[in-house]
Amino acid sequence: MRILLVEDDPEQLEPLKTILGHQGHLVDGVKEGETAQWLLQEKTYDLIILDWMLPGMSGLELCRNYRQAGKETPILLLTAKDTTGDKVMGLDAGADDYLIKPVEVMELLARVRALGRRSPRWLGDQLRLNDLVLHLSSMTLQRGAKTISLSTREYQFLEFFLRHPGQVIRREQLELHLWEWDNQPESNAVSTQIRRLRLRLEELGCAEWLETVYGMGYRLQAPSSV
Amino acid sequence: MNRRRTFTFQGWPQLSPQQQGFLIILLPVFCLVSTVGIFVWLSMSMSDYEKAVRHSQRVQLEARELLNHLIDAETGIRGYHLTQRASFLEPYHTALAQLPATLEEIETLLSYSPQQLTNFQHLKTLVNRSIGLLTAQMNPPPSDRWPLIQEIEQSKRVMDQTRAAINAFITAEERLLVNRQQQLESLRQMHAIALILAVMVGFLGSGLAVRLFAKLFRELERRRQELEAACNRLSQFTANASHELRAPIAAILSHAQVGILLGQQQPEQALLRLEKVASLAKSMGQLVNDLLFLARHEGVSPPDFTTPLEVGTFIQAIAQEWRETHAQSHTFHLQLPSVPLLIKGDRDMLKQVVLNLLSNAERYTPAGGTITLQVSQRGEEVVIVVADTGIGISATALPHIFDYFYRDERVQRRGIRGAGLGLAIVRQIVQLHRGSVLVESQENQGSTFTVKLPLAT
Repeated sequence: MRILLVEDDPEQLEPLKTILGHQGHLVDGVKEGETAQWLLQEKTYDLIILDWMLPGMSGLELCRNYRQAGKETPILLLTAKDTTGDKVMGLDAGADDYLIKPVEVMELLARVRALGRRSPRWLGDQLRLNDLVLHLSSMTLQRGAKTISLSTREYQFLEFFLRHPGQVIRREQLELHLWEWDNQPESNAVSTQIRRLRLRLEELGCAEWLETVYGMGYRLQAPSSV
Repeated sequence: MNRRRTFTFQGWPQLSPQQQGFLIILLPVFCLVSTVGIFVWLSMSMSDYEKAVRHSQRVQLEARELLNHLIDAETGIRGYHLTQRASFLEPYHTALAQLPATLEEIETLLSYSPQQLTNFQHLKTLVNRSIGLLTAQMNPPPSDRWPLIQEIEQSKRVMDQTRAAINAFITAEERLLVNRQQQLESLRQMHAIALILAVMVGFLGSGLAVRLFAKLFRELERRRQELEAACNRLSQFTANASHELRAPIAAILSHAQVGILLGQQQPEQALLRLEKVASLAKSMGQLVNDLLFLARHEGVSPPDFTTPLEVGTFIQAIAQEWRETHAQSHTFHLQLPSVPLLIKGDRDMLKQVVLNLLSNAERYTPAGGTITLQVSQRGEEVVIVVADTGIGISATALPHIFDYFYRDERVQRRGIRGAGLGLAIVRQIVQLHRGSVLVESQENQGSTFTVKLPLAT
């Protein structure tokens, strides 16, 4: 999932971003409400995790503005505000879930999964192309009786291709969707990742499914559909 | 304004709202009761005097009636003597029949004015004597004229005396009547004056009650606003405190759990997270220390410090240590007094005051700015000034900077970290030393903190 994580305290932002990334999510971490607001206008997310108390625009304001704009991506409020009144205010502002700090990482991850299932882009717990199956919860790839574990990066790339099967995906699209907003990829980063992914697919005997369309980009498609 | 203040008595603000409300209700009630009381008393007095006046008038009438009866009796007797006809005796008999009732009526009426009773007794004797003499004239035979003439002469003398007495009685009663009428008239005037006074007192009392009510209402409104402000401050404090206390805990927990989850696959992650946890736990420890310090000294009356402290040397040592341990990114000026200045206080606490102020100045002054630490004497006080040329404090933040956990949003946006307890600690320590701390600041023009401490005597 592509997640926007808004948290002003870098000491809290960094571990959460790391663990969410480790779970295969692609996380844009920002410290200010205004930057988050700009990103929400520019990009599409599967989940937004917001701290309430931010310098400048508060998480609550951000949440309210986002909902008023008619957008439906699930929002999880993560805050030190713990009264019933705060929870009511937060949920009324348009949040889908409310977690009080300090939060158990396992619980946060479970809630993230639960909210992910409510995302408009949710297609189930697995993505399938013919007999190739990507299990989202375990980050494993299965073909027939053989199953391999993917690294976070491999998983993120493959998930993106499986969500757009048969489509030619340009390098810029991959850069936009698979790199964090403040992280500029090196010129050969995409091709390196594609090469690695092909090596993994090779283990299942389907490396050729991921084609390079010269001058255009990359495409994942099963041989039978050619 | 002053006149208005003196109008309501000075002890008014010291009364509780309940007492004030009771007095406000009591005021019109008192006015009403006293006015009605005065009215009832005046009306009853007037009714007494009216009755007395009516009695006097009736006494006069009855006395005149008495005189008429006597004249009738005398006229009847004389007619009879002249004509020897019994029919001329009719007025005499009628008068004689009515006389006792008239006398009795007068006597009854006089129970209201005992001052006339003596006169009446004298009058009554004369009347009875006159009647007796008149009746005696009826008995001797009319042939013998000489003794009769003598009796008539005697009767005439007594009758004249009686008439004179009745007239005197009437005159006296007239005087009484006039007197009573005058008193009644003055009572009527008093009644009118009392009415005007009652209306005035009523108006004044009601006006005062309304004024006091408005004052009480304003006072209650002020207290409500104060309470509301206190509630807001409390909820702001709770929100800030829970944010500041939970933030490091949340960070520690996240780092620890991430370390546990990733540690097995990536041992370097575990080490990194452990270092983070240790560093966060240290700052958390500092936060807890600060909070405990504040809680321990909150509301405590200043102790009697005995250790004398030479401010110049003391500040110089702090400044030197601070310069050695901090990056030299600012221009630093130190101005010390030329004469030794002694204060009494706790060395560690006062050091923390100076260090907190210096550390704030450093944090909120961009590199290249100037920080000045100045010590001087002003009257009976030692003045320690920490001034900087930094980002300053906004007018909205200025009244709150000594509040617990208060952090200016502008500062947070700049990513300058801190829990918002440093200045609260400064103020508490300064107050413990019977001193004061002031701040002057303008946005983007720097801030000046002035700590004043009493000189040791």
